[in-house]
Amino acid sequence: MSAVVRSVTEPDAGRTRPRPADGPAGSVDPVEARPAVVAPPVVALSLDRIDVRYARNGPPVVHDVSLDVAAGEWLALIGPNGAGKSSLLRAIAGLVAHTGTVSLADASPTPRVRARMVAYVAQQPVLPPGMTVAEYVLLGRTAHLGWLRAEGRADRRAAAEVLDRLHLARFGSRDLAAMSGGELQRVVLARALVQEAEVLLLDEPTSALDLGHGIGVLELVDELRRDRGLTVISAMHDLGSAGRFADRLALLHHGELVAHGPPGEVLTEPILSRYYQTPVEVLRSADGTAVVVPLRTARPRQPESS
Amino acid sequence: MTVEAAAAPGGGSAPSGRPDDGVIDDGVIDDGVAAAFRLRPGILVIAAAVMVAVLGLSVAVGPFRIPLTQILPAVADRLSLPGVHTTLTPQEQVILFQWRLPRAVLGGLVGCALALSGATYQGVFRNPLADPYLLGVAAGAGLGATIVIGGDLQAGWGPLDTVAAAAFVGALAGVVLAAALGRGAGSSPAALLLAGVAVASFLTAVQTYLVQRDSDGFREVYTWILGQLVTSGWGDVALLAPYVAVCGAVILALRRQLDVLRVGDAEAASLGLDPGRIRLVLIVAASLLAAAAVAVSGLISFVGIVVPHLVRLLVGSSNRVVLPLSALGGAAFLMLADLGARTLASPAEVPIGVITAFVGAPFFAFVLWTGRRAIA
Repeated sequence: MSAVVRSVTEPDAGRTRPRPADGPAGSVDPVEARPAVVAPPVVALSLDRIDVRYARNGPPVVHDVSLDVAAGEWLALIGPNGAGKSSLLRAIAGLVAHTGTVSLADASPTPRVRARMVAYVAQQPVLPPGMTVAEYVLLGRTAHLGWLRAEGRADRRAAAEVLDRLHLARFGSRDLAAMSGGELQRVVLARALVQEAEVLLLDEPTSALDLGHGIGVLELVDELRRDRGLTVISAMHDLGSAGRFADRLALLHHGELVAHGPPGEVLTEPILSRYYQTPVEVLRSADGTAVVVPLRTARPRQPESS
Repeated sequence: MTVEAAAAPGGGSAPSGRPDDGVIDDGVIDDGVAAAFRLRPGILVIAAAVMVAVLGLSVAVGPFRIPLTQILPAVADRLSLPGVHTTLTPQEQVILFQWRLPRAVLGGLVGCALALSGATYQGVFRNPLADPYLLGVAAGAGLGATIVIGGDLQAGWGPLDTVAAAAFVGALAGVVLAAALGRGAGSSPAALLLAGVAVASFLTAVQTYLVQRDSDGFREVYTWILGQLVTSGWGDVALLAPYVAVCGAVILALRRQLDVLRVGDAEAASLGLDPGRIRLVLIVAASLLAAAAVAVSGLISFVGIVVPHLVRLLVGSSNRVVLPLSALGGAAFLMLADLGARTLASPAEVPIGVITAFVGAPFFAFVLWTGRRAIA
């Protein structure tokens, strides 16, 4: 585990190009190895010493985070409330000011160019009153349209295709307000897919959904990731889903990257107990994925110990 | 949409840049997607027909009745079209061309400007209650214009007029103040509205003080404050028309971007828009429109809120639909209001601002009651 929890002051802190030859972080216990995942060597996105502050001289909510994300990979950002997961996602999407660099294919993209490379799904998306599902999804074409151009036939066709793929075709003319929570999450996902960006950022994609709908959305994301070769970075609360769906986990704590690696290496009792400040037990399910069970304790909180 | 269906014989090819062009035809784009953000031509034609009908009515009706059927021939004759001769007397022609027509056209332009400005503010601030009158824009424009009129600083050439310029500066000051105050007070639509009320009250107080202090110099301002379309000839039309044309074109050109802004700044930015820049351009255009309208016609309230809301109630909330229809509807609404202003207490005139407030205030209350979902 020492390979996973690294001090961020190390020269190559946080760098985990997920190549097989990348040293300890890449060498995975066979039990924890997930068969289908052979991370391609192409880097889709590279974060270099990202700092995010909301007040100019305030404390950083994200501090010194450096990470490479491979093309086609699913990286889950985990961590306690306020750890900086959402802020890091917003920094990648270019929505908050930050220092450090987010390297995409294009060095310093304009909002429009960036939106063609990175699609962002907010935790609580704004649903404009009176807007239909089809209109909402068409907004995803914004980055592909010139200033004075309206959506053309190709844009409408792209929207129709995605709606069909997400089993939303018959809801096109329905008002967003008339959709259920699970359907809405698919609608929001549809808008992001229509953007045709290669990197998909999801901020707590299942937080508003029940168990079944939550898993359904994650399965859909995974299918789309494989179909379209998307790179997915998602902030996730549910460690079980994070471990089951993501190739790699990055644990943030007080804005700093404190652990990252394959789920089996991050979802361990010492790491989770320390950073979530509650004792946990990590069980293994039949297929080898980690199941995190919080333990009750008579004492209100355990002091930081590991 | 399925590829099987699309690949069936008879599938048309589409001349655009996607690789699957020619394989999938239009028929498989379902109705919801095909209709998204589209203004149906039929509705546009109906709105234009209503506006033209109201224009005809307001030209025909008055102490001197001009037959509707004589209006078009008279206009054609005036334009020296061959083969058309009017049967109107010279006196009727003077009434038509020096009084009725310029006044109706001016009313149409003012209504168009105020409604378009209101619809734009509502989109930019994502606030169904935003309106040039309620935001303090009109009050700012009024104060600017009052200073120029009362201070006898009127000068200018055509549309470049000191009254319009001062009104524009005041309008921008009003909206910037209201937006800044409203942001400080919170992000709810009500906060912006309350800030607008505070700004409008303050600016109106300054204006009233100026008028009271020097009532001789400001006498002209008095009638103007209540809103008026009294005019002789085409001077005011020539002043206002360029503003309506240019700002209207800018706003209509950005109607798609205004639809993107409906998801909020953060998400709009993630979709590839620069929300700050779009907002700046639209606020300047909407304020210029409102200021130009105020400069020629005084403070006419509620047009900017009644017309866009009626449009939304009738045909939906996409700005691609709301903006053009508000422009036409605003023109029709104000011409109709002016018809009322001229005829209700004839031969005296009711200030047109009184008519629009009389209709608009109850409507505003109605919006508050029924629109709680959108406003809360």
